[in-house]
Amino acid sequence: MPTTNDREIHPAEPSRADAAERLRQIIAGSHDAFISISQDGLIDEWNPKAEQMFGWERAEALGRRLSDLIIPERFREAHERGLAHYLATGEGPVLQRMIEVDAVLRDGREIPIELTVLPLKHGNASSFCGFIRDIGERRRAQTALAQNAEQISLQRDALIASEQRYRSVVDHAKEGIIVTQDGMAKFANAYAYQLVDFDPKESFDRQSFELVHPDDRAMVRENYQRRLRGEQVSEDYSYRVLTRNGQVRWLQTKSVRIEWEGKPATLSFLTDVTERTRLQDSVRRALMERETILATVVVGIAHVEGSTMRWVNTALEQHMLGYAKGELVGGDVRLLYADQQDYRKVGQEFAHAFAANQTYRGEVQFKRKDGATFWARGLGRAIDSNDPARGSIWIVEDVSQERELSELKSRFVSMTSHEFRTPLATILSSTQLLEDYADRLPADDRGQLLGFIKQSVQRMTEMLDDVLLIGRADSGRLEFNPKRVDLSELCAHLIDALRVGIGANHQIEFEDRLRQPNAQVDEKLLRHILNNLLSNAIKYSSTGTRVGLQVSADAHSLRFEITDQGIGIPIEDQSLLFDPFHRGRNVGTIQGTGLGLAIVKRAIDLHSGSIDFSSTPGQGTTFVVTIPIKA
Amino acid sequence: MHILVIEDDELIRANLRRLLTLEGYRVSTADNGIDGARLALQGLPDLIICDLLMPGLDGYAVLSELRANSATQNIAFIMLTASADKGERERSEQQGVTVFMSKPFDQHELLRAVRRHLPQAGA
Repeated sequence: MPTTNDREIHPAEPSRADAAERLRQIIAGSHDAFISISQDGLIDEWNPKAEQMFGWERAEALGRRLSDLIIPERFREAHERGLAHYLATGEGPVLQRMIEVDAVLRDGREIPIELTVLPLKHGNASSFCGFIRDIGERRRAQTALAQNAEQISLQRDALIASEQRYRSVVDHAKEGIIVTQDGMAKFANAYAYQLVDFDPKESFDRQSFELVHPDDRAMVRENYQRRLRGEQVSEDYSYRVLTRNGQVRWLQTKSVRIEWEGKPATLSFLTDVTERTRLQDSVRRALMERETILATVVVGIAHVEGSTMRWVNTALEQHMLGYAKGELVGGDVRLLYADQQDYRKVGQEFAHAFAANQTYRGEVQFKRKDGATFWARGLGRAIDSNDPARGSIWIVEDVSQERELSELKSRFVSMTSHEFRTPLATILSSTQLLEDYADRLPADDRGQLLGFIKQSVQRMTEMLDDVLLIGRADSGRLEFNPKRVDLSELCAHLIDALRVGIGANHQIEFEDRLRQPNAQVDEKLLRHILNNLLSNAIKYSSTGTRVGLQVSADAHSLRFEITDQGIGIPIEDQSLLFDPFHRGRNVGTIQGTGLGLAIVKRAIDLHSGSIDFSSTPGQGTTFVVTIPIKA
Repeated sequence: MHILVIEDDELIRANLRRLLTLEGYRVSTADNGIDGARLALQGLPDLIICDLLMPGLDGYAVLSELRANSATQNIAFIMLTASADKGERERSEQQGVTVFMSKPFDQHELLRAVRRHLPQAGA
């Protein structure tokens, strides 16, 4: 309650005129148009908003019939009827509520309005006031909204249709399409399922890498992770998968990085390349096998067109001719001939063989890259005898060794026949002398002739023994029985025998430097070694010259040195000296089988020893045999 | 009749000397080509039996030396050889060898050749 002490404020009592003025101001400031009409239908109030809305000034509007001014002609009659009905009955269904109607503007345009009509009673008189809002804007917005909604619905339909189209494409694609995220298959099309023998109704529901073949898994996972990190990865590669049925299938993938539900993922397109890979593999394997065969084969093979080598195998190019791989391809075959006359000769002979559709066969000397020559046997045949342009295929064999062997063999045959003929001649002539002249020959002569026969038989037996010995040595059947031998005694005996035998006309010198004469050796073989070297020294040097044997030993080995002042060994023969049947070119008519040194070498080999020599043709030779001392 | 034997093999040389001596010929011998050629020029034998392969001068070299000298150019020359070469006989004929014989030789055949090619002294 207010107290007496408080200063009371008493607002002034508003006068009736003030109230009317205030009401007029409210109406004037209203955001709605305000119009009031009398019961005759004449306008008696028209606020500024109404002026703005309809285009009529207040002064123009006042006193005019409302229906003439703003009601479209088609509603005017209804309006008048409604007004009359209300005045007669007091009922008005459109009164005191908001209705939406159309109004006409001064310029004749119509606008939708929202209208609320309030009837006012002044005793027996009535008036009406109306609040009007232009709802054109709202209507337009609503229409736009409705149109939007329709459009959205259309778009949605279109989207659905489009999605279905894409899904159909994706599902019918003959290529697996798979989206991988967090190591899981987030999406896979029907074909992707088919590639791993899964039913599309099931989901992979597991790490998609589990389907990758264990051997390829690390590679595929690494590529996936690197791609996700945005690194450069091959977009196109192949790997194996293990299908649900346990089959291995080769897939070729093309992958790109995409956004999937806001997160990085990979989109991969998969093609089944199993058959292709299998074919490629078998082609590759076949090519590799062929390449291996052609590279491994020991004979040379070449494809020649005209005089140009189109292709040569490893054996010919590298092993036989000493060129680098590929160096001869495109080169001229004339390069290979040691003698260009041979090239012309082979060319003519090959042309004949070619014409007769036969295989050419011949032997020529080929030249290696380093200039060394060797004997080559060539077999050449046209690829197509009707088409010389297709060239020919050649098989080349290095027959140097073969030729050397056959040369050796013929040398052996001629040597043995020569070496046998001389003692045979002695035997025959001795027996014929005994036969024809027995009665006239003194006993001494007969004894001598029999001695000649024996001596000749022995000479032939020795030669045969040598041949058999080298045969046994070469087949590893030479006996080796080392035992304790007194070397000083053995050497002394040998020397004594030579001094009275074939060395009677030479100065045979023997120097024994052994402190301890006993050693473990094969006596028979050692005898053979020393006898042979000493016989050679005598045989190949002039009578009266010096032949020496010096024997010594250190802690590790025995050493035998045999020297002569003979014809020496030509440089050209030195490397072949220990080959069977090889004899120096300077031996002249000195008899020999060419087997002695070959046997010596093998006998020394059995003792794990070595033989060296130094020789000057015309001055002499020194052989040094070293044999390790066995504990 | 004088026959010169040039042969480096000691046993064959001895047997040839024995055979020819037994047949009544006068025989001189040499064990190499150089001595043989010298003996031929000095002694002017009626026939020569010579080995082909010998140290020093071989049979052909001895022959060509004798054929080059007017005193010896017509002496009958029997070549003995141990060579197995088939072309040797042909070569020896080209070189002017009178008779070519391979070792081992039949001594009857040799004696026939000797008799045939010795100058027919008063016979």
